[in-house]
Amino acid sequence: MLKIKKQALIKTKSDGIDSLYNKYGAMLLGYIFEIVKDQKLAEDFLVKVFCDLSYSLDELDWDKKSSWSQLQRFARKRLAAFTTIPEDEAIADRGSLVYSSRNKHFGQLNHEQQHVFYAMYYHGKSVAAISAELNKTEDLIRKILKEAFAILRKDAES
Amino acid sequence: MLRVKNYIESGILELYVMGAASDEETEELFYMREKYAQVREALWNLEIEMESVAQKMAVIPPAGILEKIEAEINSLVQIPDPDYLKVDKSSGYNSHSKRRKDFQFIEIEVASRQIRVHKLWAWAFAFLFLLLTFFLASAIYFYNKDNHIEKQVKQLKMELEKQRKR
Repeated sequence: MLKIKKQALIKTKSDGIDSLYNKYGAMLLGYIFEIVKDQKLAEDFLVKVFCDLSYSLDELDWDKKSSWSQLQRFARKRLAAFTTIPEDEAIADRGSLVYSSRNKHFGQLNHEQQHVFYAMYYHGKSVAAISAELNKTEDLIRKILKEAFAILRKDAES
Repeated sequence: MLRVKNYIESGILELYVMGAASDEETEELFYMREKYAQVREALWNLEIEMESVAQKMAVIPPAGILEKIEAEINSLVQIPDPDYLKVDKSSGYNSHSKRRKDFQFIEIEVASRQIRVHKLWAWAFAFLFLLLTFFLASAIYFYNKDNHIEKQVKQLKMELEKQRKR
């Protein structure tokens, strides 16, 4: 009985992971790659993220929250070693935080927009943290983010 | 209405879909989403657009990754510790298979200064404590009794001497 339940559980988990992988696997790999900057490492992390996800499938709110936002946050937590840069290092490294990206879509953004988008989306930094880093007001950071988002959105539509 | 429009324009929705909103901002957003259809619609559109942006930045995984994930999940079900699967940051080497070989060895950490004893010892110590209390009470009782008798003997001796002198 227990064995049947266990097999059913594995099957359910496996199906859930399969459908998530088919829909978001490539997006997650692209996301992870932008953070770790290494294809092989990104693939290893992708495997780890999906394995961890199989344990946390019930904890995530698939009805009320966006699946992609949740997956992206879930992956970023697992990449904390890459996303948490010491504050002084981040300030010193301000210019080079973004631009090793092989993603051509970032090319549409100016230097500031790239920095804000990258720091938030990939590193999960708060508006306050980026505002302090760039010595700009929080409202301005939000405005830059909106502009960056609008450009990327337009690019995605085309 | 203006409040809702300003809220949508504030950039909080973008923060949320990028996973950078604080807990307070998220809570407020959920409240606004429930209350105002415009917020709900704006957030829905942004989430779809964010997915489109992420799709544009997607990297197609090489063949075999899904099979690898399924194999890892099946092996993790047998070893109930998800942290067992660790990715070595420096080398990118997945240490699962290596650690699996080492699984026959037990890691011992001698950090605690406490020892574990069987529960029966609690009863033994309680019995010993009661026994010691009984002996102590008895000792005090007999000591006092002895003192009392000694005083009485002395008193009798003194009375006898007095009678002899008379």
